[in-house]
Amino acid sequence: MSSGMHSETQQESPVANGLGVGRFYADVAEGLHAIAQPLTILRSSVASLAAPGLTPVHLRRYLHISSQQVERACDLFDCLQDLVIANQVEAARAPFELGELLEAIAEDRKTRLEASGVKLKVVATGERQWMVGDFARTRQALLAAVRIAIAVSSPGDSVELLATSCNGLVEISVSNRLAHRRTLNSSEHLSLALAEANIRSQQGEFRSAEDPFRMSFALPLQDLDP
Amino acid sequence: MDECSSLPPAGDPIALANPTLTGASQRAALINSVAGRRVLIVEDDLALAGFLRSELKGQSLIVDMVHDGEAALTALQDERPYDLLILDLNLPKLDGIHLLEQVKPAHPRLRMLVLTARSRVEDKVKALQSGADDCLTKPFSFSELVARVQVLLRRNSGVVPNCSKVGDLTLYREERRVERNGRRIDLTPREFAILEFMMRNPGRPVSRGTLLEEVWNMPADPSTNIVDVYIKYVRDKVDLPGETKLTHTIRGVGYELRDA
Repeated sequence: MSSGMHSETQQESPVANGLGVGRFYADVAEGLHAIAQPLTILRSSVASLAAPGLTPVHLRRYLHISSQQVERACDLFDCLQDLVIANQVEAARAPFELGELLEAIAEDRKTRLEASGVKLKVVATGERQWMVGDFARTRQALLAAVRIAIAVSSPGDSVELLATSCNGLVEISVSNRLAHRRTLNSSEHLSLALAEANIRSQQGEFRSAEDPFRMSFALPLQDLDP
Repeated sequence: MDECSSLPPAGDPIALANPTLTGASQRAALINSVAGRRVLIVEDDLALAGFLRSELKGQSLIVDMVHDGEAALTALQDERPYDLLILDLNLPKLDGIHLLEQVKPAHPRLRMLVLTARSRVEDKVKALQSGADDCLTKPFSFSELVARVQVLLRRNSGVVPNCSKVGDLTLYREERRVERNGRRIDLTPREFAILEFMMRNPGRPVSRGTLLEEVWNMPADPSTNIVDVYIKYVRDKVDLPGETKLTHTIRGVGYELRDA
């Protein structure tokens, strides 16, 4: 997420975003749990790399494992950092076009969708609609939801991205058609927590359910009346 | 099975204060002391579970993995008992603490090592009170895990008696000696390993696949008859004409060692 889009106004506490301090710490703890997994693998792989008499095959294997887990740890670190930023730094408030947001999501996930054989159905009601909020945070929240929805998809499942507007609000939902019968892991919980922090930092409404997976949020439309 | 005498706990325990494995001979000795033991990993992080499985297999252990508490309960119903359960506390479907509480009474000999990213003391206390033998906080190093696994498996091995009896057949593990009614039976190492495993499971059918895994450390393979060949060698030496038959073929299953 580009934090450069945010104004640097410091908020008093995470409570200002509608999240309790206890919840914030719980989310951070979830993130720490998630990051402990790749760190465990990394710590052991690096120790193995330093062991004497390592064969070239093992050397390549441990290097490959290490490089994968470094990426994973960095992604989780970014996520944790963004969670803190979302709770500390005020969200941007600028108009952006709904269609542009949905297009960005579909384009970003195109390769992953093709690889996993999951269909993404994007439905937006109404003409060009302008929302008001933080494009980067909203995009990140939506991306996290679509990423989780794809991850928990089983063959034959499809992911629906639906945007509807009513009473000056746009409600966007991401949902799986089928139940996946698995619990979200620590990384997914962290992503979901960050999505929620991103939306609540814009005073938006946020809801989520695990199985079938569904995440939805509502943000205001731009008031076009003079 | 009669227990002729108790095997004292193995000496030279690995000092946890110095868990790093150094020296080829020490490493080989450690591997030999636990080789072929069965370990079940219960970890919902697929990458970590796969990594631990692969590395522990490198220590000559037989390792299975599942990713939630309910699957762990199912896996523990396997006819071949596990020697060690390595489990995360944060598990889907059935939390690690509840899993410990359910498993301990049903499998009192099973050693249990808890992996947790929760560094809170009360979590560890709760895990230990629920039946865990040891706890390790993530991120840990694999060498520390191996050291703890070795200690737990050796502790478990102390429960296995030096001597087992089925009918008039007696097997002494430390001396690697087998006698039947005073008659000394000479067995090759492979034959001894087969008989030793069967005497650990008297009166229970043991499948060919299990023997392949336990004795040969190979995955079950229906295309090989190596187990049948070696069972015949063992049977020919154990059951002489005129003696009560102890080795029995269980059609469609495998073999069983029992008195009559």
